[in-house]
Amino acid sequence: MLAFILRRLLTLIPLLLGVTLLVFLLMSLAPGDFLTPVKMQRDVPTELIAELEREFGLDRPWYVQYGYWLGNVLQLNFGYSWSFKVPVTDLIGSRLFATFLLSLTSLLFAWCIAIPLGVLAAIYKDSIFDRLSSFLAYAALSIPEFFLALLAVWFAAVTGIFPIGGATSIEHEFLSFGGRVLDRLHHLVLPTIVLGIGGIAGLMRIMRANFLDAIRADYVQTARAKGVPEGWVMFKHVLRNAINPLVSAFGFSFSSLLSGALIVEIVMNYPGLGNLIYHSLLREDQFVVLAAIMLSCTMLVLGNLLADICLAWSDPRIRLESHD
Amino acid sequence: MRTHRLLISGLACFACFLLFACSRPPSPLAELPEAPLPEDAEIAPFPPGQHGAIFVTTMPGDINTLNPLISEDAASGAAISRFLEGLTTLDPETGEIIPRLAKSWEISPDGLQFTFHLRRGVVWSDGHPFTADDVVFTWRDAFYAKQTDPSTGHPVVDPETGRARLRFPSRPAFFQMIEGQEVQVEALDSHTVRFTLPQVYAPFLLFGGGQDILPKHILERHIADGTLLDAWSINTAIHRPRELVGLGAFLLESYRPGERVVFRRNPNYWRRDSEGQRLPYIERIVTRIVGDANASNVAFAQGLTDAEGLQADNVTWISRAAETQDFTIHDLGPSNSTSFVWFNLNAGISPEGRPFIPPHKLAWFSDQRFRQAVSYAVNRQGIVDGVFAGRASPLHGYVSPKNRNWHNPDVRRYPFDLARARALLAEAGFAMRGARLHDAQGNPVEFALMTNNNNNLRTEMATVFAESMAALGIRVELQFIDFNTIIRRTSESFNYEACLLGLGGGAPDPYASKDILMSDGRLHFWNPAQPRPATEWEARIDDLMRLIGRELDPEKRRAAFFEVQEIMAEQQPLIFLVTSNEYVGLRNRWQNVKPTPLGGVLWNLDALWARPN
Amino acid sequence: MKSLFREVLRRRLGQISLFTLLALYLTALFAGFLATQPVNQQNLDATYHPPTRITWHDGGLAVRAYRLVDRSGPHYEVVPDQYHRVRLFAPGFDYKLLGLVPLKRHLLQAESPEARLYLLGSDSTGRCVFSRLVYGSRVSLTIGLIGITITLFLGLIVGGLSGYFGGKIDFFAMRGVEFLMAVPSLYLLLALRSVLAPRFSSDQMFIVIVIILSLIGWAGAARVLRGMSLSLRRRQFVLAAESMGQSPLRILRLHILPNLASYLLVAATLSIPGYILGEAALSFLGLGIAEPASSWGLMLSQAQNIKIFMLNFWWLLTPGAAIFVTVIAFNLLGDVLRDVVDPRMKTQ
Repeated sequence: MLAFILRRLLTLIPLLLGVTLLVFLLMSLAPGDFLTPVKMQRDVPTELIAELEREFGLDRPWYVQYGYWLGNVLQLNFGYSWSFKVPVTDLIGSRLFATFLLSLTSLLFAWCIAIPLGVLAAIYKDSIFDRLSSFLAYAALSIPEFFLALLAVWFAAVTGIFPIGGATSIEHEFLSFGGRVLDRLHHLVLPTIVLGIGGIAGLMRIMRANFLDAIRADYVQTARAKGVPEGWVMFKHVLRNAINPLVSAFGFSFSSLLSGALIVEIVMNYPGLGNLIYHSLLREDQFVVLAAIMLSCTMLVLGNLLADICLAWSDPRIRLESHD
Repeated sequence: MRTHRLLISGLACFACFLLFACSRPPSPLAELPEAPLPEDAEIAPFPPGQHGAIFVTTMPGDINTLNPLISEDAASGAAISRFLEGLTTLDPETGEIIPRLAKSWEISPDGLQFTFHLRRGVVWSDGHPFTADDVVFTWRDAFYAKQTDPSTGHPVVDPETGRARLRFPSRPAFFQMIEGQEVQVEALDSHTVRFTLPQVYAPFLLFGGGQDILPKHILERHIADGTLLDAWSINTAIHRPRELVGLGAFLLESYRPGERVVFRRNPNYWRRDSEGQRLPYIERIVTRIVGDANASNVAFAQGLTDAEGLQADNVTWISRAAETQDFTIHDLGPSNSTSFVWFNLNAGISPEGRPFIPPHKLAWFSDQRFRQAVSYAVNRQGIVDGVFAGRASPLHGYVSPKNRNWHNPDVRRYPFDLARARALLAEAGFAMRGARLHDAQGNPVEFALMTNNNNNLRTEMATVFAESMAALGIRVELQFIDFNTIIRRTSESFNYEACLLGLGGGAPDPYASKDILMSDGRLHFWNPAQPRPATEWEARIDDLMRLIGRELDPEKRRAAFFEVQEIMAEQQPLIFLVTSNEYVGLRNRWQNVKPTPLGGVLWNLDALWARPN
Repeated sequence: MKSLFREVLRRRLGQISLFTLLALYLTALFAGFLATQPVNQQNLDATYHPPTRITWHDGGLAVRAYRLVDRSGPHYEVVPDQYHRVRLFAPGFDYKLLGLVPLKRHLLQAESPEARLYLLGSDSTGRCVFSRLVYGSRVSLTIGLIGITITLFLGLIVGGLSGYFGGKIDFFAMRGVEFLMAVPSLYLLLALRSVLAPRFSSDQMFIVIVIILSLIGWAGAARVLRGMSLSLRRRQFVLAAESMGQSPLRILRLHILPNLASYLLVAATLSIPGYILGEAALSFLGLGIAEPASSWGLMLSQAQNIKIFMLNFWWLLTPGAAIFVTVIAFNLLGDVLRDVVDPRMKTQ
C-alpha cells in the first residue's frame, strides 16, 4: 500500500516538470508579457521599463528564466507575484480557503440531493417521479454552467434575497460568532447551487443504476426471504452496496476541488483562487500561474490516488496495484 | 457503515473549516493616541457636521499593493490616496494649485528653487510628528537611493545610460527626476524644505509638490534592509494594518483579499471645521471589491452603497431607483477619457527590408486632406447616440472639455459633413469608381483598423467608424485583437495601418503629455520615437512642448498649449471621436456635497457627513 | 447501421432528439435563407430593439411599427395603427445557399426599408439577434462535429495502435496520454489560445478553438480505445487474421475498427456537448471566438451586462436557450444510442 502510494507520488515529478516547461514555453510564445500594458501608460519612463525587465528576468530567453525558476522551486521558493509583490504562496494561501469551502459545499450539496433522488428514482422505477427526475438530470447536465451563474446573478440582483458576489458581508467583522457562520453560508448558497447542479445529474444517474443492480442481487432476495423488513433491506443491504462505487467518484471530485470553480467564481464574483488565477493568467503574472498549475496538477494526481484508495477501502475485493 | 462514517467525518471536517473561517477575529486596531489639533490646521470651507457615519462604496477590481512606489492599477492608487498626501494639490473647483501639507511656498526668481513651509503641529496617524525630515526622506532616501556594489561600496553604474542605478527603481523615483537628473532636497529647519532643480521645470509645483510623502519613522528600516519595494504589500494590509501610517484623512483598518477594504478615520488628521471639530466626519469607509463596474453599479442601485461612478449606459435604469433608494445622480459632463483613431505614419522599413506600410497607403495617410476628410466623415453624434445611448459628447481636440483650464474650445472642428469630406478627397486626387474610392494611381482605398477586443465600447465605435468610411467608398477591415498584440504592433513591429484606442485619466498638466505629443515620445502613437521630427508641424509641437516645460508663467504656458491643440486639430494625426460623460450617484443623506467637473463628487470626502446610521 | 437507425427511431426520446437535431442542422445549413438581415448589419438607431411580433393585418403578414421613445434606455413604443407588410420568400440581401448558390430570396422579408423586422429583437449595436442566432448556429453546431472527428481520429490512431502493438510504443504513448490528462485543461486552453489567437483572424478563430479543444480532449478517448483494442487483439478472429499474414493496418481497419464502431458512435454523440459547452464558455469569457464573427457563446457574453437584466432585454438570453436545446438533444440521442447498442451499459 505504502509502496503504491509512493510510486504514484513519484510520477508527479516528471509530470510537474513537463507541465511547467510547457506552460513556460506557451507563455513566452504568447504576445507581450507582464510589462506590455505598462508601456502604454504615458508617464512611465523607458529606463524604468528596462529596469523592471531586468529585475523580472524578462530580458532573458525563456529557458534561462525557466532554469532560474526551477532552481528557486527546488529550494521551495515559488517566487513572488509581479503585480502584488508578495510571495506566491501567501497569495494563493489567502484565496485557497474560499475556493475550498465553495467546492466542499457544492460537493456536499450534490451528494445530498443526488443520492436520495437516485434511490427514490430506482425504488419507484418508471413512475412519474422517475421520469421527471431523469428529465431534470438531463436539463441540469445540459445547461451551461456560466449561463446558470448568469441567471443566478440576475436572480440575486432582482430579488435581493441573496448577496451579489463576495464571501462575507460588510458587517461580517462586527457579527456574533453564529452570525458570521450564517453570513458565510448565506453568501455560499447561490454559488453552491450553480456549481453543484452539474454534479447532481451525473451522480443521480449512477446512483439509480447501482441501486437497481443491487436490488436484483442475490443477497437482497435472501434477506427478503428471511423476512427482514423491506425498509431495512433497502437501507442496510441495498443502499450500502449501491453507494460503494460512488466513493471513488468522491476521490475524483477531489481532483477538481480547487480548479473546478473557476467560471462560477468569475461570473459570480466569488473571491476565490479561480478568480485570482484567471486574472493572473490574463496579466501574465508568470509565477502565480505556474504555482497554480502545479497545485492543480498535484491535486489531480492526489485525487486519482485518493479515488483508488477509497475504492480499495470500500471494496476489499480490489487490491491496489500500479496498473499500467 | 464505512461509507456513513466517511460522510460523517466529511461533514465534521467541513464544519471545522466553516468555524475556522468565521472565528478569525477582526484585526485589532487598538485606539490610536489623539494629538491636539495642529496650530496650522486647515479650516475646511464647509458648514460643520457630525461625526460617526459609515460610508459604503464598491470598487471594481482588487487592490494589488498599498506601496505607492509600485502601485500601477487604479484600485491600489485609490486606496493609497486615502491615507497618503502631498505638499500641494490641484483645486478641484478652480484647477489652481493649492496648499496641502505645505501651507505656503516661494519660488526663486530663476525658477530653480522651491521653498515649502510645512504646516506646524501636524502628526502622522500614529502620533509621530510630521517634519521636513519626512520630505527629505521621501526624495533622498527612498527615491534617489543608489545601488551599491557590495564588494567595493561604490554605486553601480548602468552601462547604457552612464548613470548610477537606483536601489529602488520605481515609477515615482523616475518621475521625480528632471531629464534624468536629481532634484536637491534639503531641510532648512524642521518645517521648511528647499528643492533645488537642475533646470527650470514648470510643472514641479504640481508634480513634485503633489508627490505623496512617506513616513520616515516607519519605512526607514525597509530602506536599511533593502525591502522598500516589498513593504506595505497586501500582506501588511492583511496582518499588520497599523504599519500603514499616513497623513491622509483615513487609515486602513482591515483588508480581506477579493472582498473588501475598510478604512477608518484618521484621529490625527490636520483639517478641521469652523467649529474646531476635527475632520473627517466619516467614521469608516467600507469598500467592497466587486468583479466589474457593472456589479458595482447594481450594488448602488440596490441601495447597498453610498456613492458610485455610474457607467453611461446604466444611468437610465439606475435612475429609476432614485426615489426608492433616495439618491441623486450628478451629471458631471464630459469625462477625461478620450477615444481616437490614427493612421500609421511611420515611413520606416522593417528589419526584413519591407516598408511598414505600402508606399501608396502611406501617401494617403500622410496627406493632411485625407485625414481631414476622414474626420469630416465620422458621425460623432451617431457614436454618441448609438454606442453611448446619448450619454457622451463629441470630442474635437486633444484635451477634453472637462479639463477646462487647458481645453482650447476654439480649435478647428470637423462636424459630420460628407460633402466636405468628398471635396477634400477630390482635391487630394481621389476619385470614385463605381461604389469604391480610388486614388490617383487607381488603387482602391482600403485599410485595416484594429482595436482591442475586450472593450465593447471600442469595438462598437470601430464598427460605426467603418460604416462611416463605407459612405465615402472606403473599405475598412476591422481587426479586434488583444491589447498586448496591439501594443506590440504600435510600438515595436509597426505592421498595422490604423488603430482605434483611447486614453483615460486626463493629465492635470500639459507637460504630462510630452511622451504622446513630442515626436521623440514613446507614445507618439502615429510615429513614435522619431530621432528628428518628420514634419514641420511636429517640430513646431516639439518646440511648444519644450516651452511648456520651461515656462513658469501660466498664461504663456496656456497660450503655447492652445497652439499645440490647434495644430493637432488642423493636422488630425489623431482623429478624436467622443468622450463619455461622467455620472456619479450619491445617496441623499450625505451633507456638504459639492460636485465639480474636475473633482467629481467625492473630492471633499473628509467634509462629507451624515447622521450616524 | 440501418437497423441501429431504425431502433433509435422506434423510441420516443430517439425521435424527439433526432428531429430536434435535424431541425437545428437544417437551420445552420440554410442560415442565409432563414436570416432576415445580414449577420453584421448594425443599426445604431435601433439598439436593444424588442422583438417585433408578426401579426395578420389587412389580408397579409405584417409587423407593427415602433418608435424610439427614450434613447438612453433605450425604450421603444408601438406606434398605434401603423403596420409594415412582411412577405414570405421575398427578395432581400444577397447570400449564398449552402455556400454555393447565390440567392436573394429569404423566408421572411419586410417590404419597406423603414420596417424593423427583429424576430428576436436586436443587440447593443442593433444587430438582429435572430439572424445572428441562425448564423451563429453554424459555429456552435459544427464545432462539436469537427472536434469529435479530430479527437476520435487521434484517439483511434494512438489508442488503437498502441493497444494493438503493445510494448514500447504502448508505453510511450500511454505516458504521453497520461501527461495530457494530468495537465489542467482549462489553463492549457487559455495558454494555447493566447499563443494562437494573434496569428489568426476572427473567422479563423473558430477552427483554432476546435483544434485546441480536441487537442486537449483526445487523450481520454485514446486510453479507452487502447483498452478496447487490447482486448480485441486477443480475440480469436484477430489472431486468425494475423496468422493468415494480414498486415497490422489491414487488421486494424477490417477487424478492429468495425468492432469499435458502436462504441465510437456513442462516445462521439455523448462528447459533442462538451465541445459545444467548451466553445460557449470560452467565447463567453471573451477568450473564444471574437467579434464580428458570431457564435452562441459570444452572443451570450453581451448578457453579462447587468443592464440586460435590469431593463429586461430577455431576448439576448436566447442563445443560452439554443445551447441548452442542442446539448440536451445530443445527450438524449447519445443515451438512446447507448441503450440500443448495448443495453447493459445503461446509465453508466
